[in-house]
Amino acid sequence: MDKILLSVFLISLLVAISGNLAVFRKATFLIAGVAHSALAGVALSLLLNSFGITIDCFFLAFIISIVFAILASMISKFSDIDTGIAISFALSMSLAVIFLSLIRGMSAKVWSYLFGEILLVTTQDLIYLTFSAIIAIILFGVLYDRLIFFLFDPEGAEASGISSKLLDLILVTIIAISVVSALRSVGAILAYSIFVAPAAIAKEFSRSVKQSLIITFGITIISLLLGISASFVFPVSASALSAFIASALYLASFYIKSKFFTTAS
Amino acid sequence: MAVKAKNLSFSYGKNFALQNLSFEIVRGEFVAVLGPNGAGKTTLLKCILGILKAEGELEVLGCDPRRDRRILKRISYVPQRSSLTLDLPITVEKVLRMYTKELDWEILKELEIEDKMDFLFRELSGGFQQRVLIARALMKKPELLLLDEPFNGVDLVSQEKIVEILESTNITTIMVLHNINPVLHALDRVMLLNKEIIAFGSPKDVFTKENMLKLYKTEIPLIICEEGFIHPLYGDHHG
Repeated sequence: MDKILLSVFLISLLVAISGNLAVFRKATFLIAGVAHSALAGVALSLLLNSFGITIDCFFLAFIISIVFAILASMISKFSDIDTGIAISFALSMSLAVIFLSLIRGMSAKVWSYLFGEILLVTTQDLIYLTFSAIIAIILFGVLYDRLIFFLFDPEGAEASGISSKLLDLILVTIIAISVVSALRSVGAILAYSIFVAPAAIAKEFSRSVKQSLIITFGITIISLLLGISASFVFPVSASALSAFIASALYLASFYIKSKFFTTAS
Repeated sequence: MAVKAKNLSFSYGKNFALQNLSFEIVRGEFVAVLGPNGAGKTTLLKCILGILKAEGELEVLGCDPRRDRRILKRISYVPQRSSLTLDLPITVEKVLRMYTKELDWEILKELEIEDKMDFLFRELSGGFQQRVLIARALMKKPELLLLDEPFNGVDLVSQEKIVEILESTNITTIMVLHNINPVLHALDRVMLLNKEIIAFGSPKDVFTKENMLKLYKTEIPLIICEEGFIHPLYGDHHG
C-alpha cells in the first residue's frame, strides 16, 4: 500500500508540472502523443530482447518519446502543433505495431503500458517516478520565470534573448519523462485524461500559476485515490476509474463555473 | 543612426517576404510601417531584432543584431496581443516584471495602470492589456522601441493615451500598423511597405493616391484633417 500511495504522490507531482505546461503551451495532445510514442519504445525494447539484446524499456520509451516530441515540435514550425503531434503520433504508433507484429504473441508488458495498473506498481516503477519527479522539479524550478515568460509571450521572450527552441525542448523533455514514468501506472490510453483534465480544471479557477499547480496536484491526488478506493469495491481497473473521475470532475467544473463564477466579459 | 539597412532581403523558403530594403532611421525618430497583410511588416521587425536572419547589410544601434545578441538588452519589443497566451493566470505585476525587475511608477501612473498590479492580465480590457505591454517595454528604458500592431482591439481612449506617452519619450520608435490614423499626427516618417519599400518619408510626402494604389492595389481615399494632415480613409474612424 505504501508503494501505491507513494506512486500516487509522485504521479500527482508530475501531473501538476507537466499537465500545466501542456495546457498553457496549448499542446495537450502532446501528452497523448508522448504516451503512444513510449509504446513504440517498449515494443522496440521487447523486439530487441527477443534477439538477445537487453535495453531497459523505460530508457528506450523515454528516448523515442523525446525524438517524436521534437519531431512534432519541428513539424509545428511549418504547420500547427496539433498537426505536428498527429503526424509523429501516427508514425510512432505504426512503428509500435510493426515492432509488436515482429514479436511472437502479444506481450503482457505492452498490455500493461497500454492500460496501466496503479495497484501493481513495482519498486522499479517507483525509482523511475522518483527520478522523473526530481528532474522535472529541478528543471521547472530553475527555469520557472523563463518558462512562464515563454508560455505567456513567446515572441517577447525571444526578443529578450531567451532561446525559445531550447525552452520548448526542455518543456517537451519535462512532459516526456513525466508521462513515460507514469505510463506503467496510468497507461498510454488513459494518460491523456489523468494528465490533462486536472490542469484544465485548475486553469479555470486559478489566480496564479502557483495556485494552478496546487489545484492540479490536489485534483490528481483525489482522482487517483478515489479511483483506487473504488477499484476495491468494483472489479474494474483503478487507472480507468481514476481517469473516469478526472474527466467527470472536468465536466463538473464547467457546471460549477457557469453556476457560481459567471463574470461579465 | 538607430537602424541602417542596405539591400536587406528575407524569404520564407522560396517566397520573398522582404526584397532589397534600403533605409535609414535616425535616433529619436518616430516611424510607422504601413502595408497590407503579408507585406512583411512583422518580418521586418523580427529582422531588426535579429530573430530572423535577413540577407544584406543591417546595423541596429551600431551593431549587427544577427551576430551580437547583446543588442536585445537595448531594444524593447511589443508583440501583437494575439500572440499572447491569455489563458495563463498571471498578474499584471508579473507581466510588467518580465522585461525588468524594477517597476517605474511614473510610467505606470502616466498609463493609469498603477492600481491594476493585482489584476489578472486576462481580466483587463484590450486597451488596458496594451497599456501594460507598452509600460513593460518602456520600463526597460530601451534605445529602440518596436511595436507590432499596438492598436488592434484597443479603444480610442487607450489609443490616445498610448500615443501621448510614446510622443513624450525620446526613444527611437518603429511601429507596425494597419491603420495609421490614431498615430499619424505624432509621426516623423512613414514607410509604405509591400515586400519592398513603396515610399519612405514624411506623412504628407508619402500619402499620395499613386503610392496608396501601389501599396494596396486599390484606391484609398485621402482626406485632409483640420490640422492639415493627410489621412488615408480605410472606412473606420478618423483619429
